[in-house]
Amino acid sequence: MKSETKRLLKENNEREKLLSKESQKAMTDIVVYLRGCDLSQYHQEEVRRDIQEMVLEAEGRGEDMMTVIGEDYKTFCDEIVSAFPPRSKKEKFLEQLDILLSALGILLVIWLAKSLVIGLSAGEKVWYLSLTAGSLISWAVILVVAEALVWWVTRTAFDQPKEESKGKSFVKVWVIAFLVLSAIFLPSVFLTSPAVEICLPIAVFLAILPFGILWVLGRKI
Amino acid sequence: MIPSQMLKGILQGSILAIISQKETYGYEISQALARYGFGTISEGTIYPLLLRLEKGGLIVARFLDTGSGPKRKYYTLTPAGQEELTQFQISYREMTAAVDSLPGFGKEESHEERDQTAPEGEQ
Repeated sequence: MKSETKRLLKENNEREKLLSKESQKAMTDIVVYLRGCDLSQYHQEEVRRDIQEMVLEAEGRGEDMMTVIGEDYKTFCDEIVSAFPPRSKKEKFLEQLDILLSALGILLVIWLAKSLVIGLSAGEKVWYLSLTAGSLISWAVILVVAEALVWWVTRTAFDQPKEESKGKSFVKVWVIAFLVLSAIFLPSVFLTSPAVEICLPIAVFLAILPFGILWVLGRKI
Repeated sequence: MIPSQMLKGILQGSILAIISQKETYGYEISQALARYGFGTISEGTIYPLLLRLEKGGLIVARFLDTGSGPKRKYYTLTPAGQEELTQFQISYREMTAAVDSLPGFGKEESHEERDQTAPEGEQ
């Protein structure tokens, strides 16, 4: 993320606190929806700032957010997005790469820390760390599930909760959670044979590498 | 009350006309539109249009502090925006002249006159 985007994001987070509770909730829905739209991170924050300032001024006049924006937030957001030129393939690729590298970096650091803790607590000299096929499959599942979850949350930001019986929605949530968690953890439990052995310095280098690439990319995204 | 479909086509040009008068901001534009008889048009309707004009290089925006209150985004016309406004005025006059010449729109004489002068095949 570019430093200008970071600055704007921080500023927007601070300014959002000045809004009423109702407007903050509505702003969250708008921001979540915009996150899933074809807009660069900078443009998302730019639009967020504009709307926030608009609503802040309206609240100062004693008006609420619905009076300013109208009742259909989704159409409002879609009109905003259509005002921007579509992002190029390169921009989209760089943003996806940014997300993928962030996730991969975190997974590698967790794997490194877990392997070191397990090895050291067993009193072993940890010079080589093993990466199992199960772990690799688990990582792939985590990345796919995370991407799908973000897509689902952003696309349903303005949906009204369905009127479903509590029992039915409880069972649904638990079945989905069980399936997702099984898909994430079962490969690591059953596929424990090492797919690759990596010596410690290279493992540390690999864990740092995604963050290094992100740092370089940060000047471009 | 102007129907929304009709309003949609002319709102962008009307906003350019208001901005051409002085540097102004969203709420002030919506108030000006109401004063000129466009009815109540919320900032939420105007904002995407302003964004489109800004991204199209027809207006430029800058944030100005309003003391302790929120920051206001003020808009001014660019030379390209001025050109677009002139084009809008020409197109709008052509359109209103055409509509005015339709039967029942108050200028039926000119319509009849045109019919008389039009070639036979077109009558």
